[in-house]
Amino acid sequence: MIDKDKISKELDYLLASYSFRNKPQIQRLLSYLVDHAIDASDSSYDQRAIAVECLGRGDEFDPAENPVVRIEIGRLRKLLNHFYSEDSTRQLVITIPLGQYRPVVTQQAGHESENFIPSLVISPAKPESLSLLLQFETDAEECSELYLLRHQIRIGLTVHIGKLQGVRLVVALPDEEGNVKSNIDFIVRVSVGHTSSGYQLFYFVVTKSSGTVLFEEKVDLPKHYDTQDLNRLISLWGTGLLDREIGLLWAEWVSLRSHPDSNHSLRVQALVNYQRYLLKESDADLEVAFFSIYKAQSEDSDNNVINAALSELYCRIVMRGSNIVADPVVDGLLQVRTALRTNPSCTKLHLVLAFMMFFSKEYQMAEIELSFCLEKPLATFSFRFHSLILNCLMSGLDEGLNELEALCSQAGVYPKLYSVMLYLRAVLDEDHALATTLLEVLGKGYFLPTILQCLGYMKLPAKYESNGGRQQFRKDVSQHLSQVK
Amino acid sequence: MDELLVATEAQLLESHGFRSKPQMQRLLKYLIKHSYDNNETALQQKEIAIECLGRTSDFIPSQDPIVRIEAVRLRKLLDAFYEDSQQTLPYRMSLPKGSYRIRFSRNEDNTLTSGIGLLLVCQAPKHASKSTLTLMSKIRHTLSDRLSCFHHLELMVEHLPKHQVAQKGSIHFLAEKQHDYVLRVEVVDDRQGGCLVSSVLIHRISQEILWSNSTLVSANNRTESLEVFYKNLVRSLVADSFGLLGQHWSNFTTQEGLDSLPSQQRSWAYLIGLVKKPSAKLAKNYLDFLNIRLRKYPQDYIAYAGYSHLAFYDLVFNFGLMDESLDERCERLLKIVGEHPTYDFFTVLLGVYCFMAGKYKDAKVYLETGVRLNPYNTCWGFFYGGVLFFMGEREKGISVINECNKDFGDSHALPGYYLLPEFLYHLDQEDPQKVLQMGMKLGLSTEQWSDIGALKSHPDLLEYCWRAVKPALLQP
Repeated sequence: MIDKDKISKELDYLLASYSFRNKPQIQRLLSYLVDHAIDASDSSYDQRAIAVECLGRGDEFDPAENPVVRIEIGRLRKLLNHFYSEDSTRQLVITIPLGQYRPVVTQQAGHESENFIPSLVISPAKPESLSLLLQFETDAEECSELYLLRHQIRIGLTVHIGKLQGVRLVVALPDEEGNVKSNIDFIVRVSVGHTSSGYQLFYFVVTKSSGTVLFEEKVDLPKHYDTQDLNRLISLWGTGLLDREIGLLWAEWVSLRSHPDSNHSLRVQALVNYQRYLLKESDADLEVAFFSIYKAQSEDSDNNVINAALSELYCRIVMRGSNIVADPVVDGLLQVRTALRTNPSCTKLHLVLAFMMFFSKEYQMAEIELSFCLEKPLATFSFRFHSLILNCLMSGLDEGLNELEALCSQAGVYPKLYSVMLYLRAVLDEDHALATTLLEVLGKGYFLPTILQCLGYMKLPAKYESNGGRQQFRKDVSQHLSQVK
Repeated sequence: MDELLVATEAQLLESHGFRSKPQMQRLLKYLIKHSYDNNETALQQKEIAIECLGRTSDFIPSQDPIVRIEAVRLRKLLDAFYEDSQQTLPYRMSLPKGSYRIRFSRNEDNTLTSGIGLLLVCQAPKHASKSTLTLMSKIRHTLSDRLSCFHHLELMVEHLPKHQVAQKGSIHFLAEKQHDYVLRVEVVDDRQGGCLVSSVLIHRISQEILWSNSTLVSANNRTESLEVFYKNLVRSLVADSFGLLGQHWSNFTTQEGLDSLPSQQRSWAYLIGLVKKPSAKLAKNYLDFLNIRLRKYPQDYIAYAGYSHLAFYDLVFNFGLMDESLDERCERLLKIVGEHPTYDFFTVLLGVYCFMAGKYKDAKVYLETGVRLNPYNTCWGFFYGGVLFFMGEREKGISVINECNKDFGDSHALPGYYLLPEFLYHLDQEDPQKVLQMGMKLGLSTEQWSDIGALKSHPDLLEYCWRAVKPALLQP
């Protein structure tokens, strides 16, 4: 015989549960049935009694005509079965066997004070992100200075990568056979050692599947190094490897994911297309990337990475003057604002928002957003680069271009957009020789659409303000363009 | 195919609706496979008819409606399954009309623990001056950054203008169901060239105002007064053992009954409840809940970390729920931290465990990482300072703690374990005034006070103080 108290406790538990909450009729029915389970007689389980007592029917209720009791009991039975299939650890189980209305209470064996927690199943790294394993090696004898240095590197990389989207960092130790999880894409190995004057860091990156060394570098650190310098170094590594536009690992990632044997979902394919465009910037890739990301977004509108990618692609479409979407400024602005809602701390989205507000002539707000982007410390190259491009467009080439130049020469990377800015300044300065060279080197086919877009959007240079306005500016540029074949 | 998809498929095939329908099962499996592989050809009527419905190669779709009919049946079965079943499968599958491609939507919430839904709305009047607009954007930006560091919040920030201009006060009606709370910050010009920032926190269900504040940001000391505003807001609402928001959520959900929350939110609710009011009963219920939850979602690492947190309380308050050695607990956490190194919450917990296990060097490093990952949670600062203190770096530890204390001011009641290092420090300095002050805050009993003279020469100060402080901690 099961304790009456226990049954009533179980009943309370059931009634408060998610399945039974907000269902007053079912609650009444369940309480009624369970409360009468102790009675010997079956009169309480008569259909009529149930209908009158719990379901608010009158005395004239006729079970033969009205199936309400049978229906409600069926519902209740289903709910109960479902509840206990979800919650398999209850000590008592209440069921209503088919063909009867009297509930049966059974006691589950072996659930008394069981404090066993199943072990954590490590969720596999998703194919849509780039997963990176960080490992340390020590050449020299272990000492507290090396321990500290290693940890500073680990902390620095963790903090840096924690801000990036689409990258998963793992620092797990290998298991007994020396293996780490199978779905790691790349391994970053850092080894630290002593030199006569301080420390030496040796770090290299390998592809997990093939073991190919992608990158290696040796850095010497003085004995009393500055933590700030170390963090700057780590941020440089981060950019070199993981910058979406110039990062080495993203190029590798694209080729890993586009391997003909691999079979990926729509979302992964879309992200590969997007990443391919970011690296190569060809118009054909832009179209492919946009439509596949667009499709992936419509299937799964909650994915932050996809939403950020779509926002960025709208921005690129405007910059290219591409006609693959009818109204990219309006759609893009809506998209980026929607994306920011669930992903409010994503820096890239804030920059895209600044761009889109600039395109839609909300200059004041665009300027405010951009100023936050420019203030971000230790930003990646491409983030900084695009912030400065927008700065050039918004506040004029004279002001913006120097910083852009400094950034590019420091990184040794000169993206196409940089040449577009140089070209525009050359035309403004009437340095036709330079302008012509730039045009010849990069090819008019790529140049033309972006230049035309910039002409339309950018702040009018001072020299045209009183001298023909934007029309004259356009005329001068197209005159130069037409001279060059 | 990904494992979760395979699991979803298996559960669907086993379900009541599909169990005795081999043709439906075949069709479902076929469509799932080819939709996942993105194979357009295989998803055409003719291919479907031949490959899976036993038609021959002379099948003409316009004459034989079999595929369309079967697809309608499948669509109905799928919809019925998800409507009836309250089971949370990793994927929601559906067959949109006019296509034979199965649509998978993945709701991460189904498998991962999620916390308190908070919607942040920043507003300025329509024709506000530029400096007011800048300030409003700046506040939105900074709060987005800082609040995102707290993983027990599901933060959303409103950027859509149509919601921005909503009549003041009515914004919380616009909030969707998933937001438990709405935080509205409004910036207006004041006449002296500065701005008035007023903020209010509303509980969506009860429409109750839980917190409100207004700060004057004058033109000349903007940065400092803003910093005070941010600190005050973050600290009171979310930081330091979950703040006021956590307190309210915990009270509210306890009143309503924790079982009435959706399963993925319950883990945080239990944890916050436990932190706010530790009791053996709650701890036991939490453990039971986690048992079920983790058996069903063994990949839910946030709930798993909740388990480690519970183990910490079990140890400190001696609930006697678990018997695991400290090393085992450390190892368990180390595994989670290795897989998710960017979560401050796990890292700090690991630091505290290392400290208890006497691994001071590791403890320091993990706590430092935690502080850097989320510099806005004052609680981590206290832990870090405390560990430094007990490791022998007394001066540095106390200065870290004082730094955190400064943010608090005098008005806030701090949990006892925050004050312990300072109490010991003053004891060591033989400063009776401060010892008394701290001892009062710690709530030491008469007998404990009478022992203080002996305490100074006591060989194991730490042990003594744990005993002294425990009753204070146990008080509600």
